[in-house]
Amino acid sequence: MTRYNHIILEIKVAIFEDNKLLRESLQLLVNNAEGMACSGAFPDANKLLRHMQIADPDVVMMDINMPGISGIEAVHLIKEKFPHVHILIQTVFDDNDKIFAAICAGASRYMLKKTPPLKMIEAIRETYLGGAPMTASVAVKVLQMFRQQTVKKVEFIDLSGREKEILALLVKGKSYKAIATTCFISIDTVSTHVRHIYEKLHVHSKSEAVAKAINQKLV
Amino acid sequence: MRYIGLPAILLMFSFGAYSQNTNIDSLKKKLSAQKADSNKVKTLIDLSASYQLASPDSCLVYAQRALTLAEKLRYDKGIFWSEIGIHAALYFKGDYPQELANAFKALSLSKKLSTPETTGYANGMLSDYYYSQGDYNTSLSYWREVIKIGEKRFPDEMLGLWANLSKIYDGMNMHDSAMFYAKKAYGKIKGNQGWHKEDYDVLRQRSLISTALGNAFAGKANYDSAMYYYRRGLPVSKNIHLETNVIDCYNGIAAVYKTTGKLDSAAWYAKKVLTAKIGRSYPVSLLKAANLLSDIYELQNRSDSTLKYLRLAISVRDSLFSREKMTAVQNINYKEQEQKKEMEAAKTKLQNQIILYFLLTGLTALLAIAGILLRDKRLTQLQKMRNNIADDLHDDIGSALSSIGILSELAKARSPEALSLLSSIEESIINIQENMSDIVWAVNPKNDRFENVLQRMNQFASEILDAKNIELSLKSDESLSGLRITMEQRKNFYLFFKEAINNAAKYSVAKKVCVNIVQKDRQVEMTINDNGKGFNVAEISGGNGMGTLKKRAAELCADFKIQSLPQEGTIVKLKFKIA
Repeated sequence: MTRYNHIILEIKVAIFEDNKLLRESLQLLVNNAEGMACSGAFPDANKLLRHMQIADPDVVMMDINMPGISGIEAVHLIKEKFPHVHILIQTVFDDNDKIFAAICAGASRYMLKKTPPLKMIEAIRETYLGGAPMTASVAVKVLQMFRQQTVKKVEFIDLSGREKEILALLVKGKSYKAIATTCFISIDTVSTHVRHIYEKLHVHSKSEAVAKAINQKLV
Repeated sequence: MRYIGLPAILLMFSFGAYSQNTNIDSLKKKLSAQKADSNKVKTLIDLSASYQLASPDSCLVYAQRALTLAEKLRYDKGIFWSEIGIHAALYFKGDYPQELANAFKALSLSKKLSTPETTGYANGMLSDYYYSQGDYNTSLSYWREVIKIGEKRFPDEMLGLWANLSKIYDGMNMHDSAMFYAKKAYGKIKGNQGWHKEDYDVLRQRSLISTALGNAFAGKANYDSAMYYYRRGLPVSKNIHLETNVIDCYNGIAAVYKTTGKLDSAAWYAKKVLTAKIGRSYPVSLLKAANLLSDIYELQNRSDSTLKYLRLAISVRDSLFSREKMTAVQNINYKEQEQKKEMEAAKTKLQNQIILYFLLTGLTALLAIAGILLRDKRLTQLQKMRNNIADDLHDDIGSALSSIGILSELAKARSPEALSLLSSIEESIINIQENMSDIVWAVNPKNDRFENVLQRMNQFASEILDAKNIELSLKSDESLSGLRITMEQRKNFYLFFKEAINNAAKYSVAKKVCVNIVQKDRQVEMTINDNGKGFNVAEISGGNGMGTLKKRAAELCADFKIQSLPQEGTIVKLKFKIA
C-alpha cells in the first residue's frame, strides 16, 4: 500500500522497454531525478520474475508493446507475485482497449510516450504515493464495464452512488479539481474514491468472463 | 444343387454360385464348422435341396433355417434362394396353395436383386403356379419373361424353355403353336446329339420334350405318335422324379386310351394321377383325371363311380375357383405393393434430384462467397501488414522522440546556456509527437464513429484549458455519437477544433470556453465561443492561425465563420455535411 507516513528515501524504479535508446534515456532520467533511482532496466518481460527479484522495485515502468510476453501479461504476473509494486504502463499509442486491459490487470496508470520528461517524473512520484488518476477515456470504459455486469454473477460488485457520480464526471473529462468543486469534497477524497473504483475494477476484472471479454477485444 | 422337383418348368436355373455337392453327410459336417455367415446360408440351402425327395419336412426345415439366417445377415441373394427352397419343400409336401405369397415375395426380391437367374426363376415360379391352376394365359405372360431371359443369357436352356412353352400352348388348346415349339426343341436336342446322353440335364430335357411332344401330337389327334412319346418319356420322368411330367404322361396316356376306346387302361392311368403325391399342388391334373374317369364310367354305365368322380371333379373345381379368387386378391395386393414401391422410388428420386439441385446451387453460392471472402481476407491481410509496419514505425519513432526529449531535458540541467536552444528542440519534438499521435488516431478504423472524435476533443480541450485555468463546457447532440465519419473528415474536423482551442487558450484570456455541437440531417454545426478579450478579425485574417482554420474548413467543404469584437469574446462557427 502507500507509504504516506514513511520518509521517502529513494523510490526504486524498474524499467521494461524494448527500444534501446529510450530505455537508456529513461534510466538516465530516473537516476538524475530527486528521490528515485533505477534499480534495473530490461529489454523484455521474458524473465520477469527473476528480473523483479533482482531489481526489487517500488515502481515499474512497463512498455505495453514488447516482444515475447506482452506488457499486459507482465502486469498480471507482477500484481500476482508482487502486489505492493505500482505499475506505470507506457505506450506510444492511444490504444484504449490495450490501456484499459492493462489497467484492469492492475496497472495504476498509463503514460503516453509523448509525455514530457518532467511530467514523467512527476507521474512516477504520484504513482508511488498512491495517486492514480483516471482519464476520461478510461472512465468511459470503466462505466461500460460495470454496466455490462449481470446480476446473476456471484461476484457482483457494484459501484457506490458517489463513485458512480465521480465516474460520470470523469467521463465528461473533468479534472479532479473540477470534480472536487462540483461535489463539494476535497481533491484527496476524489482520489480515494477513484482508488476504490480501481480496486473494484481489479477484483471485477479478475473474473474469467471479463478477462475473456477484454482479451477478445485485443485480439 | 438344383431343385429338381419344382414343376417341370423351372429346372433351367441353377443357383449360380452354389456348389454341386449332393453328399448330405459332407454337407452336414461342413455346416457344423461354419460361422453364421453367407457361406453357411449356402450350405443350408444345399442341404435343403438334398432332402427334397427323401424328406420334404427336412427340406423345409433347412430352407427355413437358411431363410432366418439370410434375413439376419440381410443377405438378399440368400433370402431369395431360401424362399425358393421353402417353395419347393412345400410343393413336395403338397402344401402348395399357401405359397402364392411366397412366389410374389420371390418376384419382389428378384426385382431388387435384378440378376437374370433370379428374375428368370421368379417369373418361372409364377408361370408355373398359374399353369397348375389352369390359368394358362397368365402362365404364358410370365413364361414369356423367362423365354426372354433365356434367349439372352441361357441359350443352352432354350430346349427346356421351348418344351414348356409348348405345354402351355397345349393347355390353351393352341395345338399348332404347341407342336411348333415341341418340334423345335426336339430338333435342337437331336441336332446336339444329346438325346442319348445320360447326364441329368439331358434326361430332364428329354422328359420335358417327350411330354410336350406327346401332348402336341395328342392335340393334333395323332394318337400313335402321342403314345409313342408318352411311353418314351414316362420312364425317364419317373427316373429323375419329375412328378409333374409323370402325371402329365399318365393323363396323356389315359386320354389317348379313352379316345381309342381302351377304357380300362385309361381308367387305370387316370387313377394313378389321383394317387400322385403332389396332386394337391397340381390341381388341374386332378381335375383332368377326375373328369376323364367320370366320362369313362359314364361310358361304361357305372353311375356310382361316375357320380363319385364327378363329385371329385366338382370339389377340385371349387377349390380351384376359390383359389382363383384368392389368387386374384393376392395379385392385386402384390400389384398395389409394387406400385407403392415405385411411387416411393420415384419420390425419393425426385427428392434426390431436388437435393442435388440445391446442393449444386448452394455449392456455387459457397464457392462465390469463398472467393469473395478469400479476396477480402487477402485485402485485410495486406491492410494488417500495412498497419503492422506503420505501427512498428510509429513505435520506433515515438520511442526515439521520447528519448530525444528526455536527453534534451537532462541537457538543460547541465548546460544552462543552451537552454533556449534545447527548449526549441523540445518544442519541435512535442510538435512531431502530437502530429504523429493525431495521425495515428485519425487513421485507425476503430475510431470511425463520431463519439470517438468527441472523446478525443474532450480530452484535448480539458487538458489544454485546465492548464490555463479556463473552464470548459463541451456539449453535443446525442444523435451524433453513432454517426460514422470518414478518416479525412475526422482528421480535418479534429485539427480545426484543436487550432480553435489552441487559439482560445493562447490568446483569449477567457474564463470559460463553450463548445456546442449539433446535427440535423447529417449537417454538423459546431460553435465555439469564449468570453475572452476578443480580437480584430480583419487584422488577423491573413495570419497563420486563421490559415489553418481556413484550410481545414476548406477540406471539409464547410461553412466557416468567425465573429469577434474586442472585449466581447470570440465565436467560431463551423458547418459541414458528413459524407
